[in-house]
Amino acid sequence: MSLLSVDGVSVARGGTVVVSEASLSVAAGEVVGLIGPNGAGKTTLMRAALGLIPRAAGSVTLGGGALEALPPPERARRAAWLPQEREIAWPVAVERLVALGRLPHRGGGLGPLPAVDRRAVADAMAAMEVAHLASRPATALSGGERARVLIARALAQQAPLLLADEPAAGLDPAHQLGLVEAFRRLAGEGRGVLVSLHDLSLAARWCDRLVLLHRGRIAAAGAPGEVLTAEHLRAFYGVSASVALGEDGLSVQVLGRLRGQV
Amino acid sequence: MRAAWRYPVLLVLLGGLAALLFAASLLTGPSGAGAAEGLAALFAPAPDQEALALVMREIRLPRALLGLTVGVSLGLAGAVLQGFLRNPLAEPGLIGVSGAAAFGAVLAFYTGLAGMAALALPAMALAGAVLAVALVFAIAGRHGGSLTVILAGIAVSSLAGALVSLTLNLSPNPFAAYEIMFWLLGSLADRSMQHVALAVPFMAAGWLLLALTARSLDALTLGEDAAAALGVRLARVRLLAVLGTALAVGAAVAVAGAIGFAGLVVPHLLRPLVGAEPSRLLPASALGGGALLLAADLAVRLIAPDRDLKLGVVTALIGAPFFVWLVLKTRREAA
Repeated sequence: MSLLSVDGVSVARGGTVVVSEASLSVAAGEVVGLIGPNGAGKTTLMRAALGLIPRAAGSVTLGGGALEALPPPERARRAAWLPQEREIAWPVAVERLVALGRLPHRGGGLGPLPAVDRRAVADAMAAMEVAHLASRPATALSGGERARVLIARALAQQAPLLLADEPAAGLDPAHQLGLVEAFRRLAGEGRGVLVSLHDLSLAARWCDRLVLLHRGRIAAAGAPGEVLTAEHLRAFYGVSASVALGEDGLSVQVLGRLRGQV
Repeated sequence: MRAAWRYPVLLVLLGGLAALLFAASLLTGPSGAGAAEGLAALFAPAPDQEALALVMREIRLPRALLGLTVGVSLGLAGAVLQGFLRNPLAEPGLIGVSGAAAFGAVLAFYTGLAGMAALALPAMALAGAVLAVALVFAIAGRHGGSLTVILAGIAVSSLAGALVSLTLNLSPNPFAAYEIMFWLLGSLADRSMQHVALAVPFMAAGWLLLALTARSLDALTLGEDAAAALGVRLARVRLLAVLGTALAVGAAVAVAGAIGFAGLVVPHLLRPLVGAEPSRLLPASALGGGALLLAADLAVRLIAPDRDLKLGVVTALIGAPFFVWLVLKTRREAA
């Protein structure tokens, strides 16, 4: 089943077309990587897919329903969003911050969380290894800890689909792997993940499919081996690279920058 | 379990403090009646207590009621605006409501309407507050984020300030200017039950709108984008926050004049005690605001009973050093 399908979406920001006729889909059980150089329109495409910014053209279907027909709380039950900005405005305890992911599921009230919500919060914190931080103020954490807490917040939402913008940025290698393992677990449970990544090795090894965005257009899409080719990296990233298929998957090594291009 | 009890206990303590100060406010004044005597005169006056009953019911009761409700309005609106704008320095005056309400009141003095009808002054102040909201929305646009609202509020505030100065400048005689300036200082002295009846319904409506933002404010801790993706309708929250502030604070300014700093100080003092959660801050800040204003109004009566010290002057005197402390603390944390 398709959890998200984006058809011919264009987005204009401040008079410039930032995303142009982009189409992609995410099915249950797959992790789709969104890659592309800075300014390619990855964030804009994901925000448009969630209805956070208006589209100039195209349509979006979320969990089988047209995006416009879904009221905001229903959208939130169908898709969780992890923005790139790691904003935490107040020194709220980590556990309470992660619990914000339960807002779309709750009726309201200032009282303690019901058991089902507490369970979801505990699972999410365990998955991102932040359970030991539960009572710390979220604003007093290190950059990497803060990132993991916010990922846990998105996981606690337990939506069928997760859209994550650069979640791996600022994480050490072990926690990067912990992150992609968490995404694989979600896929294993029949959920879908659309994640933008700058780390091409991570994208190559852990995503089922990749979508390469270049200047607002989809330049390539398909299995990692088809998208991450030396020619594509040269043409769209302006770098020379060696791509090798080893025993433990595809590996990408960037060798140098090509002069006179980008 | 201890952590779960802390919040209800805090609310009970703040409520108790406000109740205590309310009673103290009822029992403080130049008539010199004892506590038991005063309360008896308020609820069931003996035949020989008519004068005291009049003092209690017509002078002290409205003053205490307004102290409580104006304080609740300022504390609640301050907490909501700080949460909505995600800025610890936000306060009700920031979005132009106080300034515009003050201008409405000043206009009532200037045109002489204030002298003709008792309620003309608060009514025009309220009209000013509503107009300020309309202007802020017109400037900020339909989809304006919190920063645009702040900027629009500053624009409206400075316009209102300039218009107040213009009115003072053009005032026909020194006495009118003197009257306007004294009113602007903010006070709860000599208010009647008529003022209470006019202001409280508006304030209560404002409190209701402000309270409806609670859950959305929690989500906004993660920023506007994440909150929107959590199902928060940002335009609705903005409308509730700004309109609620206009009603509550507009009505407060209409009967009490401009009382600064309470809306800034109270949420800030209480934030650490509620685990910094915006929704939990709202009830605490409302009760705390009521308590603070009742305490300040008691202070002006006890410190200088004969000098008619203005409430707004006292809150500013407490508030300004607090603001400096806040800036220094922010600086330390940033370093």
